Amino acid sequence: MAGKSVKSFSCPACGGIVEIRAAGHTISAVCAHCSTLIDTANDNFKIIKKDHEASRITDIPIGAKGVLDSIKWEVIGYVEKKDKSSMSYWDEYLLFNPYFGFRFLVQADGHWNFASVIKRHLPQAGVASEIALSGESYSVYCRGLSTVEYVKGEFYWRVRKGDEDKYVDYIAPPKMLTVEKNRQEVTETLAEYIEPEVVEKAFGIELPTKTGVAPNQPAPFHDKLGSIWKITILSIFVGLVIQWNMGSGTMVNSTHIHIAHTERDKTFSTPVFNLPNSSNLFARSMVPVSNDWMELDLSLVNEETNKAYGTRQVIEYYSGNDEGEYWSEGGQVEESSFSAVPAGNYRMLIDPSPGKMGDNGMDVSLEIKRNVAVWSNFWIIFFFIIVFPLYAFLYRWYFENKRWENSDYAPAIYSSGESDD
Amino acid sequence: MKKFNCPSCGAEVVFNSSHSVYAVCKYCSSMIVRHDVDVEAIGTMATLPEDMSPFQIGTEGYYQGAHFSLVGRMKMGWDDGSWNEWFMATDDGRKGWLAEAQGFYSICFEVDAPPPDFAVKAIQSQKKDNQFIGSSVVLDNQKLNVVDSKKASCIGSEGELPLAAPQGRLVVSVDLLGANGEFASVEIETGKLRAYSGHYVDWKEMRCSNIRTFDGW
Repeated sequence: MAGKSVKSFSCPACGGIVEIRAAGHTISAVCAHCSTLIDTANDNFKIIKKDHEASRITDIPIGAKGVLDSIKWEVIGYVEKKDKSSMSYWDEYLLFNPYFGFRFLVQADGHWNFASVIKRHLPQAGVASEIALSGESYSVYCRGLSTVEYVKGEFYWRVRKGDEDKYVDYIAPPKMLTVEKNRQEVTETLAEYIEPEVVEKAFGIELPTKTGVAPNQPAPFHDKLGSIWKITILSIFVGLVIQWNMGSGTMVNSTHIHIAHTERDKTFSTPVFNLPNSSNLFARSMVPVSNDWMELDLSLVNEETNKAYGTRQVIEYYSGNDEGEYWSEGGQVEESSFSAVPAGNYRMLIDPSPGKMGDNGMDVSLEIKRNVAVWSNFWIIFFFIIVFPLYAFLYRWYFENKRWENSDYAPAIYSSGESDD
Repeated sequence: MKKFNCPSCGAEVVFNSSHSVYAVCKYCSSMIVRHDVDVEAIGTMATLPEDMSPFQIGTEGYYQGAHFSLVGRMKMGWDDGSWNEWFMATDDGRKGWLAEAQGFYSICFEVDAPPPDFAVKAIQSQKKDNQFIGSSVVLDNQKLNVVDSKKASCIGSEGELPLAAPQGRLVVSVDLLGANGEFASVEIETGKLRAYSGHYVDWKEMRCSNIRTFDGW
């Protein structure tokens, strides 16, 4: 026979029905009708404090049920707390399941934590600035004094407005360890950051948007930064290896032509050469001009499709002797590149426009290479490889700065020198 | 297992555990104390207050691979609430208790009690704030620290127990905690010390069967 899951009694102040969802555990309950705080440790139902404050509407209503961590929970209590010095407010919801016990949902600035009390003796908790727990190191984030501002629902401890607790928060994102101390006891609570959407989905509610960075909010890429850098370094390495292997390329054609002084307007051609696969092509011309110039219009023509790729090379070289000082300008070599030329049979047409050119005409040597390593390409790829990891790194740094902004215990690299003293 | 007839109503009263010396008749609520050869009724137990405990007499489970079944319960109350102590019958015959407080479960077995000065300090700590809370104690070869010390009284009992637990039975109960979830408690009853040592356990870990069910859960 299934037991009743709700126990009820009459409020000693207003006579309304007060429902208890965690009978046997609950020792303080607030009447939903008149907000009177009632001692439910035994069946005498003593009034602890009468209240006339209207019952507040909370983000998650008392009595709501939702599944978190694949366990069904019922919201049975709500406490609003305030830090006495920073005047910041937060909400604590008490969740209950008759088999799994109690959990907490804590909300501050729209950020949520799912927490449970832990039963461990932590000798340095609340004192030390670093606490080791289950192989993780927790760093102190803040020390404060909390006070209860508002209560609603039921609790397994004695609660009332104005209750004060000393607390210390330690963080190891996405986890947070809170040590609370009052006159009677020390309580350690372990919380884990959860996205507001998870809470919304669990209880079928809508929540206000989060602002800022929460103390234990997991940083973007927090678990991926290491692999991002590994992949980056590997990609750069692979890029370099490819670059080195390409080296100075493969010669596909080498042609010498002689331009007789009567052939100023003639167009010359290299023999047909083959590109086995798509690659870049470098054409290097050497023309032994001296105090003269030569313009070469190069057309790379595909034998099958007649598609042409053109470029122009201007080769000029001047030298002389002025008052015993030798000078020279320009050069006799010029290089042009054709990028991503598809595979196929090609010939290069050379249409020279010589300058003065003497009676002996002019010699032109043309070397054509494919697959030549291009460092500018490498740097462009390098830039694309590095841009995301760099962004991730800088964003992480910005995020961590934000995280520690509200803490008096920020690690040196994140305390940006804006200290209060 | 030993069977007797309730001296009050004549119904059968079974003692599953050889440690049991006390039982509450499930038909007439008479409290029965077992002597060597017979049983004696010492009064009537009032109805236990309702709670949301997942356990009941007959619930079975496992602790560190060993099977147990719950044969009795003692409900304890103190200023700030109440907790349940479930007496376990185990296959190896050890005297074990499953304690249930604030949604936490611990399983402990009786061990050698600490020296009597422990009791003196525990009782003194009820009167004034002293160094007893937080102090470390070695119990059953484990280093533990005192978490709290409170006066408690029996609210009620059911089933069979290794001690007489009438309503109002007064004790000082001391809870101790270790660095890795070790748990122990020391119960002081008019100069007598009993110590129990074990661990906090998760609900899932116990793989309980024959548990209570609740509407909507």
